[in-house]
Amino acid sequence: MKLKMWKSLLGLWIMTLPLGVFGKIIPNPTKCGIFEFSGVFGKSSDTAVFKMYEGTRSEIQFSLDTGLSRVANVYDGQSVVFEAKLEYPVKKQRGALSISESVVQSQDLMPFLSLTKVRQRVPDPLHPSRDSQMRLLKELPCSKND
Amino acid sequence: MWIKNLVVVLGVFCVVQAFAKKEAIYFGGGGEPEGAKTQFDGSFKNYMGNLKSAGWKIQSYFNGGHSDSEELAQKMSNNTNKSMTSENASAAIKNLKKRILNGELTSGDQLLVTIDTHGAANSDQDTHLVATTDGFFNLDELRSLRSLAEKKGIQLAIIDTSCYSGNTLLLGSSKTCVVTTATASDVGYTHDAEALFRSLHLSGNLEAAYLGSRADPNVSSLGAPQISTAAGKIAGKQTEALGRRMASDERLLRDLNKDVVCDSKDKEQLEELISNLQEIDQAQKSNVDLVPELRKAFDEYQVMRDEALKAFKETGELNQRACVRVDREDICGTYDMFQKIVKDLKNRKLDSAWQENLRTYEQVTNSSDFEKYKKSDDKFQELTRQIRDKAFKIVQAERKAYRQIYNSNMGPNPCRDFKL
Repeated sequence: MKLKMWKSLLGLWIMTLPLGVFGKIIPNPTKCGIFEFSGVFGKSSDTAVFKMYEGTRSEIQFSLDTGLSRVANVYDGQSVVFEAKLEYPVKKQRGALSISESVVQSQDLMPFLSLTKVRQRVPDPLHPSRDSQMRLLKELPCSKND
Repeated sequence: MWIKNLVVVLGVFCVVQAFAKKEAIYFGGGGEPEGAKTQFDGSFKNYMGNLKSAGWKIQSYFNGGHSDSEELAQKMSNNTNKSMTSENASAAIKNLKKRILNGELTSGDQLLVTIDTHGAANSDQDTHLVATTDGFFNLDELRSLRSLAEKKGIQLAIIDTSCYSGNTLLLGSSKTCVVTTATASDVGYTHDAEALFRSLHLSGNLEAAYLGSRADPNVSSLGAPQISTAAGKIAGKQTEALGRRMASDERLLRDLNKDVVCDSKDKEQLEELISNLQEIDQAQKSNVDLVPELRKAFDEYQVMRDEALKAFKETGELNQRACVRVDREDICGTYDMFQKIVKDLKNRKLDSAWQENLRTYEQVTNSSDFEKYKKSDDKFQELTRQIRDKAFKIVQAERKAYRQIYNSNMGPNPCRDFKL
């Protein structure tokens, strides 16, 4: 009985381990919602992505929805701060982002009409851990289909 | 007679050297996202190829679950690679200790433990946690291996290229060599880890490989890599204030005598660094005065950041709002938005209606006020590109200062004794 209990506790502990590593560089590693991100828009295999800690052993890549991809393409290679929605927690250095708010007008221009949420910034290349940030603005329930 | 004795001694030495074991154990590629490859494939291949050609026997624990990486691992290890799981990593360390106790590894043998995976900042550990394919591995587990190896006269070296690997320097001693490619408080650049692995087969010993990789012209970290030797501790301590100085991002070396609010410990360390560099320069009569180079690098970086911040502010002020009417709808936004819309539309195939819309948006981007905004924005973009070059010059100056201090404190150490 005791052995079973220890096994269960050990199992539970092991399940939380991956968060232990990445929880150190990502605040609120288990939460979903609207975040403010600092990092760089770039490319991975010709696809637009957002990168945190670019070029380091801790580089995190976020795939982007169609709207954010169009935004990323015009900001390619630039250091930015922007708001976006994270529907699943970051897992093994990968995440997925979508535009944080839907703008009803002119669907084709939707991502650009919400550009007030994207700002350029002055980079700090000497301090990669501070040059990339992720700040929770509004917590939302995570999607269940991860 | 003495010549005969010398020949015998040399002969015995050569025989012992020839039979001394050179074993390496590599842990890498944990915590990676799904896909065919991992970001560690390049460094793994580099490491395995270089050490194998230097006659090392290597047991690798690489990856687990990425098809291309698996194939590479089996090819490079002659099908002996095992997955980088937490259980395998712990078992491997236990097995090494068992082999030492059994006498399979004995005095004079060399053991190189390499960690090349993701790493976390120190929390409750003496060292830190590194990622495996199913969780993490606590590098504190290497402590008992180190004690046993030192007791039995086995030369142990540890290379840690993970983020926050500066925490592993704690395992260094007068008998054990530790090299890390990140500081204890920051993530590490991939290029720096690869530079160290490339340097392994080009150098006679681990200290030389470390110093060689630190001199790589493209390395990018400030304050890393680090080494556990006495000279490394002195050079690391004296140059770490540079990193903190830049971290505060508000003062320059030239401001030392000005009335500025700053951490007195940083100030003392910087003054000590300058004084030491000047002393070394005078003692060695090297005429390589690093202080002006450091000052220049700091000054130029700070000027560039100030200019970029100024351009950023000006661009923000010039980023006015404008409205156009498209498809009976008012589209309003900042110049930045219109600039991006036009750039986006020009990248797309447009039908005649959208071409007409593009021309409407261009009414904004063709205005004279927009031109002023664009000129300012272009200047900002150029300055942000130049910031990276200036930051790189600080890194280069820091490395020269580090090397000067290191050289002037060099002495016998386990990293130099660790032949590659």
